[in-house]
Amino acid sequence: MNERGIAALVVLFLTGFTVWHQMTFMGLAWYEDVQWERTQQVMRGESGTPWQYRLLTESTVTVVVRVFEALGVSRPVAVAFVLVRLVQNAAAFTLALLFYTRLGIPLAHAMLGIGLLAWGMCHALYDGDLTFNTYTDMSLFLIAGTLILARRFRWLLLLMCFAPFNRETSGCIPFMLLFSQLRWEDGRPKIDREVLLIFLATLALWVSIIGGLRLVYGVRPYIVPTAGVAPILPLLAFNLTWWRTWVFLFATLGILPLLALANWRAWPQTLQRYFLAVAPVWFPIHFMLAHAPETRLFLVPHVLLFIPGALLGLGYWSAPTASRR
Amino acid sequence: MKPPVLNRIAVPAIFAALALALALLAAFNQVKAQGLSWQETHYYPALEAAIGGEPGEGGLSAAMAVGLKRTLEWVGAPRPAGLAMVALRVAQNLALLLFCYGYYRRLGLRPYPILLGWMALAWAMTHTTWQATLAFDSYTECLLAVAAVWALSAGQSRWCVPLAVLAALNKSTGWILPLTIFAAALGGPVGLPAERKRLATPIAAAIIYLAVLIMVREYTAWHHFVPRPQGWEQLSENLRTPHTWGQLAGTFGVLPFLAVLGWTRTPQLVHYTAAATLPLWFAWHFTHSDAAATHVFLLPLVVCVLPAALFAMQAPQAEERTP
Repeated sequence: MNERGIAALVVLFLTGFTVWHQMTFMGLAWYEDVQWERTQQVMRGESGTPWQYRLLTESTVTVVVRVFEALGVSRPVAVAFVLVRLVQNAAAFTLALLFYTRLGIPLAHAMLGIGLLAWGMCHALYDGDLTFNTYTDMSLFLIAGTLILARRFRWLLLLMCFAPFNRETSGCIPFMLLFSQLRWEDGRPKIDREVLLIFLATLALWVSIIGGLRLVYGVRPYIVPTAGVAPILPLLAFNLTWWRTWVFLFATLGILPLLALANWRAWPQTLQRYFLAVAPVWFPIHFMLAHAPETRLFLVPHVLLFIPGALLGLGYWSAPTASRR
Repeated sequence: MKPPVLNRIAVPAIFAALALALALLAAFNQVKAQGLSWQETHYYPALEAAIGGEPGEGGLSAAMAVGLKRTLEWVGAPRPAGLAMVALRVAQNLALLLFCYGYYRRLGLRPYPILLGWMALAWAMTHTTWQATLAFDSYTECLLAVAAVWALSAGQSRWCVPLAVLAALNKSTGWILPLTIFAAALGGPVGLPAERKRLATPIAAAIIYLAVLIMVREYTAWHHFVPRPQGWEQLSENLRTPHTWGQLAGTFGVLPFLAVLGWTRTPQLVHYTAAATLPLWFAWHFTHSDAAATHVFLLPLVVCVLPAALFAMQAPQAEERTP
């Protein structure tokens, strides 16, 4: 079997394993009961901030459940949940392989990357239900990253018609485009006219969809499960000082962020620019507005930045010292 | 040219800090799985019983745990049994990471792939907790096996004899050590060039292993050494239980797939060791124990599978010393 065949097997294997692990974490019965009720609250327009505004994946899940109900399938909610999660994980692993190889990482190294991602995902389950939108978010960012690398900028317009309906974090995608395409000429920043227009259009899409959703559903009470403290400073203090934040974050990301940053010089410029567009915003925002021990929240920077950054070290540190940049 | 003094101090210090952090991560998950109180009330009494000569957990590992607990008790530490078990587990995890580093370097792997291997191993260890005690004997067994192949790959075969003694004192599956030593000696250098002498150390290790084993079993109980003939029933149970496959998948992850890719670049020592031990080890544990308790499979993972997987990560020209 060639390397691509093994890669396909690896994706199937990791998908099966991670879904099994995620489903047994709380048990299907719990998801059928508690999580399904939360999904229905979103669909009825009765949920809180920020869940109420994350419609894309919740409505997809609901459609799948209704289809299985119409077909008379036993336990339609459980079957739909498992099916959606299988598709999400398979998509995330496949897109990660595509993104990494597009960055110039050999396929064998990329396979290790998704293997490490799967292990990290197993430790990102604390207080997180199945949080379908987080896993869609991983795929959306990987698609955006790959499209920019492939210079298919116009496809971002289509992507941004959907991404803001999933999570607000998609606001980073226009900036991934802008930062990656900025160049310096005579000490001044320059950017192609087409890129600038696409940046402005995608940003406008994001603002109008995020704003529109808030207009439609109104301002809802903020939900911070478990922590029960107000956003911004109280939540930041809570997240920074609770031991679970750091233990669970280390269990999910491991030493990969450290290795990735140690290889900074080995990163392609585009990946460095993605880092600048995402990481400085992502971590402060999630520490101030979310419950940080739910480390699934950090899977996007993990899969998009830290894993490829760490994998790039395999080539960088095996090169003769003189040839390192 | 020698590296700057700062590098000679800073780099090992960074590696040591990373190893400690990963050892703590694995230990946290291992202790959390059943809870420390459960380990204190269910596992610790078995350790005490084992050093009293009753059938139970491995004698050597039990002696380490009980000795540590009594020392902590003597100095007045709170919750001495729990503290001793946590400390021993962290020490075992740390030692395993460091021994693997030494062994993999000897095989010709560079430090950076080994760091990623450490990460993989730490995450693998977090999945070895299914309905299990802290299983100090399994980790000691794993450490002894890595120490043996490390010694053989470094041409220091004389270390194999004391390691065989320790294996006989540790666990009933200690036969894996003489077998590993035999296979590794056939596959790699043992510091003795002549073919006839090459097997002298493995033969000496096997004889000493058997002698110590007989003495230990005379002192304790032979019936514990002979496992209950569960055979097909246990095998069928293991094969049918989803948790067996889930836990094995969590422990091995993508590493077997990568090991296939890196196999041709892996030194012969690993090939021989894998051929001699992997089938037997899996067959034995699938027919004699709950295979979902995957801590027993860490041994083939670190001795054969992980290094082969890491060779798939390393460019051929980057391999340094191939035995």
